[in-house]
Amino acid sequence: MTEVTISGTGCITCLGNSPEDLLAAALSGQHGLSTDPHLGLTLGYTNESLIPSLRSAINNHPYGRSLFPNGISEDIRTMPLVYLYSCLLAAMKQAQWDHIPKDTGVIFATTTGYVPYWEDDLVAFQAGKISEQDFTVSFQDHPLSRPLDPLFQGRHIDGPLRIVTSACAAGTQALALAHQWIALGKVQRCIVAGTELLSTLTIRGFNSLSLISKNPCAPFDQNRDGINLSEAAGLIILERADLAKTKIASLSGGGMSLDSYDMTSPDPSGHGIVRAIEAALKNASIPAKTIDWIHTHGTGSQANDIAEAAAMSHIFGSVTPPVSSTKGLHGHALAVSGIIETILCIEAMNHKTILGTLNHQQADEKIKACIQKENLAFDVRRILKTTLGFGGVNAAIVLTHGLGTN
Amino acid sequence: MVLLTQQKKSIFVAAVGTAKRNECIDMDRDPSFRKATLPMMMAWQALNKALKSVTTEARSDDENRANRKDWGLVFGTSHGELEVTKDFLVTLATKGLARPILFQNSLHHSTLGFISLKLGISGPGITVSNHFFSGEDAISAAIDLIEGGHCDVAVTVAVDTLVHGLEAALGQYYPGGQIEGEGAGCLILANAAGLKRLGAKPLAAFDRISINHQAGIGKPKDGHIEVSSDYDADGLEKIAHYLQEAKTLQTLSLKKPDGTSATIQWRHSSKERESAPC
Repeated sequence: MTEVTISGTGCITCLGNSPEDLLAAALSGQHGLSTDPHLGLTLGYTNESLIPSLRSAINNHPYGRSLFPNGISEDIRTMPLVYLYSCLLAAMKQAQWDHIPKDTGVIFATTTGYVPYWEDDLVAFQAGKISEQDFTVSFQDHPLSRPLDPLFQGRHIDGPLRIVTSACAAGTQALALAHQWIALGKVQRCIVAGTELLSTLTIRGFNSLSLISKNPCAPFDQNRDGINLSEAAGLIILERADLAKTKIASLSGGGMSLDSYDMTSPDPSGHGIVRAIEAALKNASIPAKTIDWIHTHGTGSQANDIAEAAAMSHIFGSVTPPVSSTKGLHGHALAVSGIIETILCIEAMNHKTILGTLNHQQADEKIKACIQKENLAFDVRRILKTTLGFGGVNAAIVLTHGLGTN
Repeated sequence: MVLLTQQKKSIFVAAVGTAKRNECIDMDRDPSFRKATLPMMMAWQALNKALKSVTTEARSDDENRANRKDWGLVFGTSHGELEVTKDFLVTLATKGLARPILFQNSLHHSTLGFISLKLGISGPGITVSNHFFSGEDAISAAIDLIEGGHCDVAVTVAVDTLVHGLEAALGQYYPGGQIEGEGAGCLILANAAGLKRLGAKPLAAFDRISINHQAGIGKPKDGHIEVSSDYDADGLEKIAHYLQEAKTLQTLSLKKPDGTSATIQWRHSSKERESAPC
């Protein structure tokens, strides 16, 4: 099968605004979460004060100017654009691209898109406080594909575009699909990206399900009491191995499944996740025993952690490879979580480190998998990355070590 | 011109179904639909019609669920669950009440979760939302799942619904004050092995789906029809309709409200049916 190389990454998160920042924070055990004084919930916000400098950097970059001939305006609605294209330019630099090559596709992952920019106006319009015309303007960015318009309308991309919005599994699904596109020759290269901003809808919605913790989350811990929502943008460039100028890792395969169990809770037996992992291992043509580290979805919710740990025990038996979650560092960025965590996995693998599970003290007695508490020096060759989402959707990918330059 | 998919091996359309809002009246009398949204009900109606033409569906519920266990499922929508999102936000603002059922139903992906539960589909599942191309992209994603060896059968559904009071906002991309429509379509796609399992004769085989980001789609030829899009995710419903109604049609060009277009080509002949594996 065609080898798929990861050649560039970029990210903006509550933990840091580059892959190197993410790793540095993870190695020092410094999290990016904060407690919202009004809601009393612990969440992960990006640093909005950076937007003017990020926007200026895009507007002054040679390729940024070709993407935005008139520059990105100072309108606050540009936040997803600024985040996405900052990540793109950073990843392109790492991949040694001065433009997007021919035969490149894009897979974009998000669940909320521009919701934070129109949700208040929707309520105001319903209450008769703003006009239909004003609401229509506010609602213009409702299509989830809107942040990609500069790429496609400006003809900077000649490959296919897919917007994946399969709840929190979307980012990992996007990576699995990108692997397939390249492996089967549909495209030669693929950009996988996503943005997710915190909104009233997501914060109050998850809180209505009693899922958000007041404290930084403690995945797989006996005292865990919920998740920390966060916002982020992330972008990964994948290329057919023989075409890539830079090689920071390989994406070896991916798999997907549905639980068909419940609209919000995963199947506690973990059988759905097991099928996604088995599909990913089969797709990557590798046996389970070659996995060095399992980076889980590990949200810190009661149901997620039981199901995921059960799946790991089912696949790997009584002695699993180190199982960890980094949600205690950067929170849960919904659709983008799979992209951000893949970037962090690659950074850690190239630093010969298995990242531990921040805030984990004592495993839940129902969890038999080997939870990695502390960071561990280890020459990681293969990582299994899993993600779960509402609607019983599961995705898994296999990452392989492969630092170097072609 | 962007090529969404071009088949090397045949991907067959085993069954099709379409549905409109008026077919969902009183569906919530059925307890299993009491918490369902309109897109879920419309998706179910379209899907149910398609399933009726699959002969292996004539068994007991348990047998049917077991049979569908490794099917794939793809859902396409542009607007998603906007009505429920509106209800959640307005209830929160006016009554200070965040209703969990409204939130869990507010995701674009909620309909896929609902169908998966109802039918017992537990193979790969993807929700896509690609504005005017949401229907076409759903088909392309389903073909990807089959070609990638993730499943032999993929149920593909696309739905968009209007939201009372938001017609102007939703229709802002449509020219000349045209009001956006709504509807649901379903295609059950399969490779040769999947067709055999379904006991179905194929209606057609897909050749290629392409998207043109430039205006203008050329002159219609024989076996080629050009129609205008009337709601964002209607590509799938249009294909389902013409596969049933226009037996000689082989190319559909769907003109989008912003001047872009999608071109879908298939083989649709008695020869295709005769050469099918079952």
